[in-house]
Amino acid sequence: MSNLEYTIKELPDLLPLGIRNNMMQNNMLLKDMGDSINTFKESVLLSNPYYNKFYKHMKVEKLLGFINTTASQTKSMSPVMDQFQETHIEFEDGYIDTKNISNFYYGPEYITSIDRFSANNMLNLYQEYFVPTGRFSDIAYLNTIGPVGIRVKPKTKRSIPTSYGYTTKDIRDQQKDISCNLIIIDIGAGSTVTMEETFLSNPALKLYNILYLVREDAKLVLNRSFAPDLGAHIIESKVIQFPNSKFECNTQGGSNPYSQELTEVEIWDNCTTHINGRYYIEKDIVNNVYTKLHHKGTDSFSRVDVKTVLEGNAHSSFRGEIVVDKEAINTDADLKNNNLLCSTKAVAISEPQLDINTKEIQCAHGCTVSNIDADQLYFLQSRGISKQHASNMLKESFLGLIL
Amino acid sequence: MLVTQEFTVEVEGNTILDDLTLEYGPGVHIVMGPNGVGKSTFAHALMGKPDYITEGAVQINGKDLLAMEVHERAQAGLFVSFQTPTPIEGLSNYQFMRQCLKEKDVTIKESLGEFKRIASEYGLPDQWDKKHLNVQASGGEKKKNELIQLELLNPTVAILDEPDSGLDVDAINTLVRRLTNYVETDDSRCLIIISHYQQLIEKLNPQTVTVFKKNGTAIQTDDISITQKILESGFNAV
Amino acid sequence: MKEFSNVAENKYTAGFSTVTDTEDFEPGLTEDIVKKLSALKEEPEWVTEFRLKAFRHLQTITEPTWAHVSYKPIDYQSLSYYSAPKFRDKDDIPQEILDTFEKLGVPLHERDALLGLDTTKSANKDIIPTVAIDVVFDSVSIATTFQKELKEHGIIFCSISEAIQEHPEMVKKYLGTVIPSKDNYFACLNSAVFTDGTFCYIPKGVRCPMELNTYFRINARNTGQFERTLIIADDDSYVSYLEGCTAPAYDENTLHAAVVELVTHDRAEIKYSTVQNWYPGDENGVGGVLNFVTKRAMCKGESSKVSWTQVETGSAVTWKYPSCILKGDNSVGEFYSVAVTKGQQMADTGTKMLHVGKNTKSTIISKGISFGNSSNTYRGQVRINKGAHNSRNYTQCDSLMLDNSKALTIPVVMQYNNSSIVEHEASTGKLSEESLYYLQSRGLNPEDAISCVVNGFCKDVFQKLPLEFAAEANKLLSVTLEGAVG
Repeated sequence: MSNLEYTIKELPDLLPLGIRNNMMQNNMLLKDMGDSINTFKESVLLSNPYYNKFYKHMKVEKLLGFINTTASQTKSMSPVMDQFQETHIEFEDGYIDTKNISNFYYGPEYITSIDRFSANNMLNLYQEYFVPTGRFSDIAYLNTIGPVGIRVKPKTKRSIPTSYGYTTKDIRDQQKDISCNLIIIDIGAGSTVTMEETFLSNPALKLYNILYLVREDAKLVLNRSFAPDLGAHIIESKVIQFPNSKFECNTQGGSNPYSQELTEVEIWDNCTTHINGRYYIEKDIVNNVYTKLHHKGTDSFSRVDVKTVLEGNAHSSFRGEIVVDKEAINTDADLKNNNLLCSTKAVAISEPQLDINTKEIQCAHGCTVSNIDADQLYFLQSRGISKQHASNMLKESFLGLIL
Repeated sequence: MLVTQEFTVEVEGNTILDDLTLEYGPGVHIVMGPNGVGKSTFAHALMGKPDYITEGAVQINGKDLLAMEVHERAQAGLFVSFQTPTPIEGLSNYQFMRQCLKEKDVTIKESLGEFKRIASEYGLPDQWDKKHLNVQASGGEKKKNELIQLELLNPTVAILDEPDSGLDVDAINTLVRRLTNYVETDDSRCLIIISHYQQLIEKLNPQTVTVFKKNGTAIQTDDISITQKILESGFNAV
Repeated sequence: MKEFSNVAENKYTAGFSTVTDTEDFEPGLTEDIVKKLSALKEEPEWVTEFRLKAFRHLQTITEPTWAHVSYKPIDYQSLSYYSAPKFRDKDDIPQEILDTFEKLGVPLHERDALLGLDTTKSANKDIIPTVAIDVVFDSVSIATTFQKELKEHGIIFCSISEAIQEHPEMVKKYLGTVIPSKDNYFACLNSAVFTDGTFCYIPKGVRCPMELNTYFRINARNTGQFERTLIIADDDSYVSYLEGCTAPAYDENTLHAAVVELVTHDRAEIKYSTVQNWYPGDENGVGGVLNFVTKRAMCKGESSKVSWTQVETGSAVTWKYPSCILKGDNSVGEFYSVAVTKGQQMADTGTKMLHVGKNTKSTIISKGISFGNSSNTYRGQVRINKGAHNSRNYTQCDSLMLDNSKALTIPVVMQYNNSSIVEHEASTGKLSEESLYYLQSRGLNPEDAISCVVNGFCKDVFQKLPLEFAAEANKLLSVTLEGAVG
């Protein structure tokens, strides 16, 4: 590793220099994905994502506290290992390990792994789904050591635990810095897959650009959680829902100093989409959530429900866009963002948006920002529960954590 | 036992209740009065609702009630049923009861069993314990929730605000049966019921009747026949 | 269900133009033009300075492009910045101008607007006029009715040019305090070349006995209209003010960049209503007024209140956000809007509520109706500052699409303290087929049925308009909707 220190702001300038042997330098990848790489390169050179107005309320200046050498200099916290069962898939920058899922040579029956070393990785076919957005995910695309992913065979029914980040204390772990992950998850037609996704980041900054393809009649459920640590992550997920598919993403978060979860879903005919986020943030945590549901097909149903409880000095931003194309008739879309502001210093920003181009739809959105309801607090106290305890109960029930 | 001396309640600068001196011993007591006169205010002022300014003295079983915080009053044995119970999304009926009973030494199995038993006696559906507290529940269902809580929390002084409203005939019969049982099984229990429903009043066999008047005062008497007079001639008869 | 189609013919009845003798400036926007304008109006030094400062700043900034609207680029140098009918005496208004306003239904003579009676005649002394009007024709105010009567109450209601001459201290005190010249491009442009508008001052404790009304009429071609309105309500006063406007149907775009500043002191209230019916352009989007307006209220005093109510049916492009700065504790800001777009019209409108003081309250009800190829955007910002404890906001934006146009809702909520509550709801949909079927089954023809349902949709907003103008708004809405049924 060189002694060069840089933050995410300087990264665009360093990319063409081919640090870390990234995509832009890798001949094998340039052969497979050259067109796309060039498009991204042009976009990033045109304007540094760090200055993108999209990030107006997302406090990106906090990212400057994550320098590329942070991980190696700080004693890394041991990642959460116990929760991982024997079979799980591990993704890291340019690396995929389907340990225990795969038979070393032949692979498991229901999964093929995608990486630059495998012969029929079909990376060139996935190119068309990646479009520069002018955001940090463009950097993730260019600066990764190599794209990795899995193709789940059609008609598979599986629950797959996944970790983003190494779960073994490995020398590679020490060298991880601003890591850039380009991941492709291709769910074959007719499959039903649940992925228990755990994001690990240690004290470093990790960027993710993940493509989820949910093919016809398939169902994908993502249950996301984050290992509580000192790291920051920027997760951009792009989901393409083929007709008749179902997609659900359930996230519980708020334990990392900085987080950005940007999810864009392209929805075709007869699909169902659910995005649920529950965040509890305190101290100086900055939590940003962005969802964009683009209804391109007819007769689809989508629900976005994001709730955040804020304490201490926390900062939360939410931006939810629902775009309904002219052709997307009979769309039923609803978006909700509710925030419970419990301390004097916390800040909540909410931007729910609707962009509707046809009248044959039913779309609504709502957002609220408030403190704990005084009537509810009084009610619980009148049943003998102390104020502090009642307060905690209301925060937990707000997030649906009391079952 | 609940005793008040010169109890005055002020809300937003207006004196709602003036100088009430009342006494409630074990058994059932009835509270009546025209709508809007302050009966619910009385109950909530005793419970300690924020924004109510109180003066005077109140003792519950000999202890100074007004000096206590809201939850301390509940723990001291006071229970007030809400006229429109607050819905709390995300908190199930049962989970809520668990939290209330945490202080007391009751196992999960015992309290859940008890909860389900009382719920079914009141005609509530099978999975009632899993339903979120007062969320999308009818007026009657919310009232029944209050009554279940009453029995599980076991207060010494309970003020029930029109417990019969929203209940059908069967439920009212259950109500009478369970309330009577409640005071009979423990002679230290005091039930104060705000109601106008004559049949309920008669069946409960009250010790005293308190009538609240429009000027914010109240008179308390052990002459039960006063309820009949009011039924016939209205509140002006008093 | 019948299909909706674009408006086949131009129903804009105010689209005629008046031929009259005018004084016009040659086109162009230079420092000399600004000085010439100021000289023509015989303005004191400080006003000229105000204009020049704005003009100089204008040279350093560029036109903003973030709104969801598109229009042919404006060539600022090809517009004339002053055009006024040539007459000096307010008692000697040319007949053709009087006829214009007669045709538009605007009462220039002092007579009751509703009853059509001449109240100057002593016989009718017991009839109390309900509306006082200031009429602006292109760049100049032509007449202001009932000034004397209002003066008896201490109320000043006159054109801003007159106010600069007669009440300079007051204008100087407030001009540019709510919307500084540097605020945005169009406000800056306006500050440099504003022509005429209304000035109104309500003294302490006075409840203005009449509706005050300003009627703007654009007539000349290739000019820009830049009014400037300033309304000040002193402690414990009240005024209800209405703004109406029309313009001829020309093939080029006409630019209307106005600035409206409102100031309320302790416990004062201003009700500001707008019924906007600028020429919307033809069905191909040719011509039409570009309505770029900056309106803002400073609720300076405690418990003061400002309500913005607007019904926008015209102009090719509408770009405006009437806003409130709720500075005084307990102050209240309200925004009620119905914006209709059809054909090729585009609207990007909404409001900003900035909560600064404690216990402040704001309510936003926005109704958008769109059909044809039009685009209707609601853009709002609710910001609760740190010190604005115990504040409340309720927002409801609904969009009704009569056919496949575009409805966009872009609200932003920023909350910096935890004792306040913000609630926002929005929905987009179409006319309920069931409702229409029901109404028709009771004998209403399809047009009336739609009218009925749309009126119900707008009810919350129309209720806020002063009584007389609610009727006008209703009528305007039904005329606008004509052609919404194929």
